[in-house]
Amino acid sequence: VTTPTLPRPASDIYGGLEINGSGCTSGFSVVNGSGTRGITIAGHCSTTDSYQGIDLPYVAGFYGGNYDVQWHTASAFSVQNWITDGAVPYTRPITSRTFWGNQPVGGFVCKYGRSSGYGCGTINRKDDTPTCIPGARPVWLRVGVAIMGGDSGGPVFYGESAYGTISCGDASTLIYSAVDFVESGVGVTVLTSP
Amino acid sequence: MKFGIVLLAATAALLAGGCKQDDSAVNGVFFPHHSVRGPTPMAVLDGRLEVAGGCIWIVAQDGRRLLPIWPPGSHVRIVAERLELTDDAGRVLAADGDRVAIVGGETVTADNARGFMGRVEPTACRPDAFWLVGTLRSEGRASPAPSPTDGADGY
Repeated sequence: VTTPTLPRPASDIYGGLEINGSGCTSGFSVVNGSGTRGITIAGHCSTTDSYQGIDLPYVAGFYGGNYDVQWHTASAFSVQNWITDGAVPYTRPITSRTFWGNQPVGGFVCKYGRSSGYGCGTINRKDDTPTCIPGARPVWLRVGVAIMGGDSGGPVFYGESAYGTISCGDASTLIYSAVDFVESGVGVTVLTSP
Repeated sequence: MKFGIVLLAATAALLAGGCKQDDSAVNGVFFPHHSVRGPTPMAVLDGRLEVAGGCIWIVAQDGRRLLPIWPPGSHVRIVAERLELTDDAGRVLAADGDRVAIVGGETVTADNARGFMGRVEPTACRPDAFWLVGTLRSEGRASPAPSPTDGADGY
Protein backbone atom coordinates (compact mmCIF):
# COMPACT_ATOMS: atom_id res chain seq x y z
CA VAL A 1 0.00 0.00 0.00
CA THR A 2 1.40 3.35 -0.93
CA THR A 3 0.26 6.50 0.70
CA PRO A 4 0.19 9.47 -1.62
CA THR A 5 1.99 12.50 -0.32
CA LEU A 6 1.20 15.95 -1.48
CA PRO A 7 3.86 18.63 -1.62
CA ARG A 8 3.27 21.23 1.02
CA PRO A 9 5.26 24.06 2.54
CA ALA A 10 7.61 22.82 5.24
CA SER A 11 6.75 25.87 7.30
CA ASP A 12 6.62 29.63 7.23
CA ILE A 13 9.54 31.87 6.37
CA TYR A 14 9.83 35.58 7.17
CA GLY A 15 12.21 38.23 8.52
CA GLY A 16 14.43 37.85 11.57
CA LEU A 17 15.22 34.15 11.18
CA GLU A 18 18.61 32.45 11.33
CA ILE A 19 19.71 31.66 7.81
CA ASN A 20 22.22 28.84 7.59
CA GLY A 21 25.21 28.92 5.33
CA SER A 22 25.56 32.67 5.24
CA GLY A 23 25.70 33.17 9.01
CA CYS A 24 23.14 35.94 8.66
CA THR A 25 19.57 36.96 9.56
CA SER A 26 16.68 37.21 7.12
CA GLY A 27 15.39 40.74 6.55
CA PHE A 28 11.96 40.97 5.00
CA SER A 29 9.76 38.84 2.83
CA VAL A 30 9.66 40.20 -0.72
CA VAL A 31 8.00 39.68 -4.07
CA ASN A 32 9.31 40.44 -7.55
CA GLY A 33 7.46 41.75 -10.60
CA SER A 34 6.32 38.31 -11.70
CA GLY A 35 4.89 37.42 -8.30
CA THR A 36 7.71 35.18 -7.07
CA ARG A 37 8.19 35.49 -3.34
CA GLY A 38 11.33 35.15 -1.26
CA ILE A 39 13.42 36.72 1.47
CA THR A 40 16.26 39.22 1.67
CA ILE A 41 19.58 39.03 3.49
CA ALA A 42 22.59 41.35 3.35
CA GLY A 43 24.57 41.48 0.12
CA HIS A 44 27.80 40.70 1.98
CA CYS A 45 26.43 37.37 3.26
CA SER A 46 27.31 34.17 1.45
CA THR A 47 25.05 33.42 -1.49
CA THR A 48 24.73 29.73 -0.51
CA ASP A 49 21.90 29.67 1.98
CA SER A 50 19.33 27.40 3.54
CA TYR A 51 16.63 27.46 6.17
CA GLN A 52 15.70 24.39 8.18
CA GLY A 53 18.04 22.42 5.95
CA ILE A 54 16.26 23.41 2.74
CA ASP A 55 18.09 25.40 0.07
CA LEU A 56 17.05 28.98 -0.63
CA PRO A 57 18.03 29.57 -4.27
CA TYR A 58 19.98 32.79 -4.84
CA VAL A 59 18.46 35.23 -7.32
CA ALA A 60 20.41 38.51 -7.21
CA GLY A 61 22.54 40.63 -4.92
CA PHE A 62 24.47 43.87 -4.64
CA TYR A 63 27.14 45.03 -2.17
CA GLY A 64 28.42 48.55 -2.69
CA GLY A 65 27.36 52.16 -3.27
CA ASN A 66 23.77 52.49 -2.05
CA TYR A 67 23.19 48.78 -1.59
CA ASP A 68 23.87 45.79 0.61
CA VAL A 69 21.19 43.25 -0.27
CA GLN A 70 20.55 39.90 -1.92
CA TRP A 71 17.39 37.92 -2.27
CA HIS A 72 16.51 34.27 -2.46
CA THR A 73 13.40 32.44 -3.50
CA ALA A 74 11.81 30.17 -0.92
CA SER A 75 9.30 28.03 -2.78
CA ALA A 76 9.53 25.24 -0.19
CA PHE A 77 8.11 27.63 2.40
CA SER A 78 5.07 29.77 2.91
CA VAL A 79 6.48 33.30 2.60
CA GLN A 80 4.75 35.56 5.14
CA ASN A 81 4.71 39.34 5.60
CA TRP A 82 6.00 38.92 9.15
CA ILE A 83 9.16 39.44 11.14
CA THR A 84 10.16 38.05 14.48
CA ASP A 85 11.28 40.54 17.09
CA GLY A 86 12.25 37.81 19.51
CA ALA A 87 8.91 37.59 21.31
CA VAL A 88 8.60 33.90 20.42
CA PRO A 89 6.17 32.39 19.48
CA TYR A 90 4.61 35.62 18.27
CA THR A 91 5.45 37.40 15.05
CA ARG A 92 4.97 41.00 14.00
CA PRO A 93 3.15 41.73 10.74
CA ILE A 94 4.72 44.15 8.28
CA THR A 95 1.99 46.29 6.74
CA SER A 96 3.89 49.33 5.41
CA ARG A 97 7.29 50.64 4.33
CA THR A 98 8.94 53.87 5.48
CA PHE A 99 11.41 55.17 2.90
CA TRP A 100 14.73 56.97 3.43
CA GLY A 101 13.15 60.39 2.90
CA ASN A 102 10.81 59.82 5.85
CA GLN A 103 13.46 58.59 8.28
CA PRO A 104 14.72 61.77 9.97
CA VAL A 105 17.75 62.17 12.22
CA GLY A 106 16.35 61.80 15.73
CA GLY A 107 13.76 59.25 14.58
CA PHE A 108 13.32 56.09 16.63
CA VAL A 109 13.79 52.63 15.09
CA CYS A 110 14.15 49.07 16.30
CA LYS A 111 16.11 46.11 14.96
CA TYR A 112 16.24 42.38 15.35
CA GLY A 113 19.29 40.22 14.77
CA ARG A 114 19.64 36.52 15.47
CA SER A 115 22.63 37.12 17.76
CA SER A 116 21.94 40.44 19.51
CA GLY A 117 18.15 40.11 19.55
CA TYR A 118 15.83 43.07 19.85
CA GLY A 119 16.95 46.64 20.43
CA CYS A 120 16.01 50.21 19.60
CA GLY A 121 17.68 53.59 19.26
CA THR A 122 17.57 56.96 17.54
CA ILE A 123 18.93 57.73 14.10
CA ASN A 124 22.16 59.74 14.49
CA ARG A 125 22.95 60.17 10.80
CA LYS A 126 21.18 59.46 7.56
CA ASP A 127 23.93 60.51 5.15
CA ASP A 128 26.72 58.29 6.38
CA THR A 129 29.37 56.86 4.02
CA PRO A 130 30.67 53.94 6.10
CA THR A 131 33.96 52.36 5.06
CA CYS A 132 32.42 48.89 5.47
CA ILE A 133 30.44 49.47 2.27
CA PRO A 134 32.56 49.59 -0.91
CA GLY A 135 32.13 52.99 -2.56
CA ALA A 136 29.42 53.97 -0.10
CA ARG A 137 27.21 56.87 -1.11
CA PRO A 138 25.71 59.19 1.52
CA VAL A 139 22.48 57.27 2.11
CA TRP A 140 23.40 55.04 5.05
CA LEU A 141 21.67 55.44 8.39
CA ARG A 142 23.51 55.18 11.71
CA VAL A 143 21.87 54.30 15.04
CA GLY A 144 23.39 54.04 18.51
CA VAL A 145 22.47 50.44 19.25
CA ALA A 146 24.68 47.36 19.52
CA ILE A 147 24.67 44.51 17.03
CA MET A 148 26.65 41.28 16.88
CA GLY A 149 28.06 38.81 14.38
CA GLY A 150 25.24 37.00 12.62
CA ASP A 151 22.86 39.98 12.66
CA SER A 152 23.65 41.10 9.10
CA GLY A 153 20.55 41.36 6.97
CA GLY A 154 18.14 41.50 9.90
CA PRO A 155 15.11 43.81 9.88
CA VAL A 156 15.02 47.44 11.02
CA PHE A 157 11.46 48.53 11.73
CA TYR A 158 9.10 50.57 13.82
CA GLY A 159 5.64 49.33 14.68
CA GLU A 160 4.49 47.41 11.62
CA SER A 161 6.56 49.41 9.15
CA ALA A 162 9.73 48.19 7.38
CA TYR A 163 12.54 50.77 7.64
CA GLY A 164 15.55 48.84 6.35
CA THR A 165 18.01 46.01 6.92
CA ILE A 166 21.19 45.64 8.99
CA SER A 167 24.53 46.04 7.20
CA CYS A 168 27.39 46.85 9.55
CA GLY A 169 27.97 47.61 13.20
CA ASP A 170 29.80 46.97 16.42
CA ALA A 171 29.17 47.06 20.16
CA SER A 172 27.63 50.52 20.02
CA THR A 173 26.59 51.19 16.42
CA LEU A 174 24.18 49.90 13.82
CA ILE A 175 24.46 50.94 10.18
CA TYR A 176 21.51 50.05 7.99
CA SER A 177 20.21 50.44 4.49
CA ALA A 178 16.82 52.10 4.04
CA VAL A 179 14.05 49.87 2.70
CA ASP A 180 13.83 51.72 -0.63
CA PHE A 181 17.44 50.76 -1.35
CA VAL A 182 16.77 47.20 -0.22
CA GLU A 183 14.02 47.05 -2.82
CA SER A 184 15.72 48.91 -5.66
CA GLY A 185 19.02 47.07 -5.17
CA VAL A 186 17.55 43.79 -6.38
CA GLY A 187 14.21 44.76 -7.94
CA VAL A 188 11.76 43.47 -5.34
CA THR A 189 9.03 44.90 -3.11
CA VAL A 190 8.68 44.18 0.60
CA LEU A 191 5.51 42.22 1.31
CA THR A 192 3.01 44.31 3.26
CA SER A 193 0.02 41.98 3.01
CA PRO A 194 -0.48 38.19 3.27
CA MET B 1 63.40 74.15 -0.85
CA LYS B 2 64.98 70.70 -0.37
CA PHE B 3 62.96 70.26 2.83
CA GLY B 4 59.83 71.12 0.88
CA ILE B 5 60.61 68.50 -1.76
CA VAL B 6 61.31 65.87 0.89
CA LEU B 7 58.07 66.76 2.68
CA LEU B 8 56.19 66.59 -0.62
CA ALA B 9 57.70 63.20 -1.43
CA ALA B 10 56.90 61.87 2.03
CA THR B 11 53.33 63.10 1.77
CA ALA B 12 52.97 61.55 -1.68
CA ALA B 13 54.30 58.25 -0.38
CA LEU B 14 51.82 58.30 2.49
CA LEU B 15 48.95 59.13 0.18
CA ALA B 16 49.99 56.44 -2.29
CA GLY B 17 50.03 53.92 0.53
CA GLY B 18 46.72 55.19 1.86
CA CYS B 19 48.34 54.98 5.32
CA LYS B 20 47.72 51.23 5.09
CA GLN B 21 49.67 48.72 7.05
CA ASP B 22 52.00 47.53 4.31
CA ASP B 23 53.01 43.99 5.11
CA SER B 24 51.12 42.32 2.32
CA ALA B 25 53.75 39.62 1.96
CA VAL B 26 55.15 38.33 5.22
CA ASN B 27 57.41 35.32 5.37
CA GLY B 28 56.50 34.69 1.77
CA VAL B 29 52.79 34.57 2.56
CA PHE B 30 50.30 37.02 1.02
CA PHE B 31 48.73 38.90 3.92
CA PRO B 32 46.41 41.67 2.70
CA HIS B 33 44.85 44.25 5.00
CA HIS B 34 41.86 46.53 4.78
CA SER B 35 41.58 49.92 6.46
CA VAL B 36 38.00 49.67 7.73
CA ARG B 37 37.85 51.04 11.27
CA GLY B 38 34.73 51.08 13.39
CA PRO B 39 31.62 49.27 12.18
CA THR B 40 32.21 46.17 10.05
CA PRO B 41 29.87 43.81 8.22
CA MET B 42 28.25 41.36 10.64
CA ALA B 43 27.98 38.05 8.83
CA VAL B 44 29.57 34.98 10.41
CA LEU B 45 31.80 32.44 8.70
CA ASP B 46 32.90 29.15 10.23
CA GLY B 47 35.85 27.49 8.59
CA ARG B 48 39.43 26.28 8.87
CA LEU B 49 42.52 28.44 8.61
CA GLU B 50 44.93 26.95 6.11
CA VAL B 51 48.23 28.14 4.67
CA ALA B 52 48.96 26.84 1.18
CA GLY B 53 50.63 28.08 -1.96
CA GLY B 54 51.81 31.31 -0.35
CA CYS B 55 48.25 32.25 0.65
CA ILE B 56 46.25 32.21 3.85
CA TRP B 57 42.87 30.61 3.21
CA ILE B 58 39.71 30.12 5.13
CA VAL B 59 38.25 26.84 3.94
CA ALA B 60 34.51 27.12 4.47
CA GLN B 61 32.35 24.21 5.55
CA ASP B 62 31.03 23.94 1.99
CA GLY B 63 34.59 23.52 0.72
CA ARG B 64 35.00 26.96 -0.82
CA ARG B 65 38.41 28.60 -0.48
CA LEU B 66 38.04 32.17 0.74
CA LEU B 67 40.78 34.78 0.85
CA PRO B 68 40.58 36.81 4.07
CA ILE B 69 41.36 40.52 4.05
CA TRP B 70 42.66 41.20 7.54
CA PRO B 71 41.86 44.13 9.83
CA PRO B 72 44.38 46.82 10.74
CA GLY B 73 46.61 45.71 13.58
CA SER B 74 46.76 42.05 12.66
CA HIS B 75 50.07 40.36 11.94
CA VAL B 76 51.53 36.99 11.07
CA ARG B 77 54.60 35.21 12.35
CA ILE B 78 56.05 31.74 12.00
CA VAL B 79 56.65 29.79 15.21
CA ALA B 80 57.95 26.25 15.04
CA GLU B 81 57.15 26.18 11.32
CA ARG B 82 53.50 27.04 12.02
CA LEU B 83 51.93 30.33 10.97
CA GLU B 84 50.28 32.31 13.75
CA LEU B 85 48.01 35.33 13.46
CA THR B 86 48.53 37.89 16.18
CA ASP B 87 47.16 41.25 17.25
CA ASP B 88 49.21 44.39 17.87
CA ALA B 89 50.03 43.20 21.38
CA GLY B 90 51.40 39.90 20.07
CA ARG B 91 48.48 37.84 21.34
CA VAL B 92 47.85 34.79 19.17
CA LEU B 93 44.40 34.95 17.57
CA ALA B 94 44.61 31.74 15.56
CA ALA B 95 47.11 29.49 13.86
CA ASP B 96 47.40 27.38 10.73
CA GLY B 97 45.02 24.44 10.99
CA ASP B 98 42.67 26.03 13.54
CA ARG B 99 38.93 26.04 13.26
CA VAL B 100 37.90 29.69 13.26
CA ALA B 101 34.76 31.79 13.49
CA ILE B 102 35.04 35.08 11.62
CA VAL B 103 32.71 38.05 11.79
CA GLY B 104 32.81 40.20 8.66
CA GLY B 105 31.49 40.06 5.15
CA GLU B 106 31.91 38.22 1.88
CA THR B 107 32.41 39.76 -1.50
CA VAL B 108 32.65 37.83 -4.74
CA THR B 109 33.42 41.02 -6.64
CA ALA B 110 37.17 41.27 -7.18
CA ASP B 111 36.97 45.06 -7.67
CA ASN B 112 35.36 45.45 -4.23
CA ALA B 113 38.00 43.25 -2.65
CA ARG B 114 40.89 44.97 -4.41
CA GLY B 115 39.48 48.30 -3.26
CA PHE B 116 39.58 47.07 0.32
CA MET B 117 43.09 45.58 -0.09
CA GLY B 118 44.50 48.46 -2.10
CA ARG B 119 46.19 45.91 -4.35
CA VAL B 120 45.62 42.94 -6.62
CA GLU B 121 46.02 39.48 -5.14
CA PRO B 122 48.68 37.16 -6.60
CA THR B 123 47.35 34.72 -9.17
CA ALA B 124 48.02 31.82 -6.79
CA CYS B 125 45.72 33.45 -4.24
CA ARG B 126 42.65 33.88 -6.49
CA PRO B 127 39.78 32.64 -4.30
CA ASP B 128 36.20 31.48 -4.68
CA ALA B 129 35.33 34.67 -2.75
CA PHE B 130 37.00 37.26 -0.55
CA TRP B 131 36.21 37.83 3.12
CA LEU B 132 36.54 41.18 4.85
CA VAL B 133 37.53 40.20 8.39
CA GLY B 134 36.19 42.21 11.32
CA THR B 135 36.99 39.90 14.21
CA LEU B 136 38.31 36.37 14.37
CA ARG B 137 38.07 33.74 17.07
CA SER B 138 39.92 30.43 17.16
CA GLU B 139 37.94 27.41 18.21
CA GLY B 140 40.96 25.16 18.52
CA ARG B 141 42.89 23.03 16.15
CA ALA B 142 40.81 21.25 13.54
CA SER B 143 40.86 17.47 13.57
CA PRO B 144 43.34 16.15 11.04
CA ALA B 145 41.77 14.86 7.88
CA PRO B 146 41.41 11.07 8.03
CA SER B 147 43.95 9.12 6.05
CA PRO B 148 42.69 6.53 3.57
CA THR B 149 43.63 3.79 6.01
CA ASP B 150 41.73 5.28 8.98
CA GLY B 151 38.75 3.13 9.91
CA ALA B 152 37.08 0.45 7.91
CA ASP B 153 34.18 2.56 6.63
CA GLY B 154 35.82 5.89 6.06
CA TYR B 155 33.61 8.94 5.68
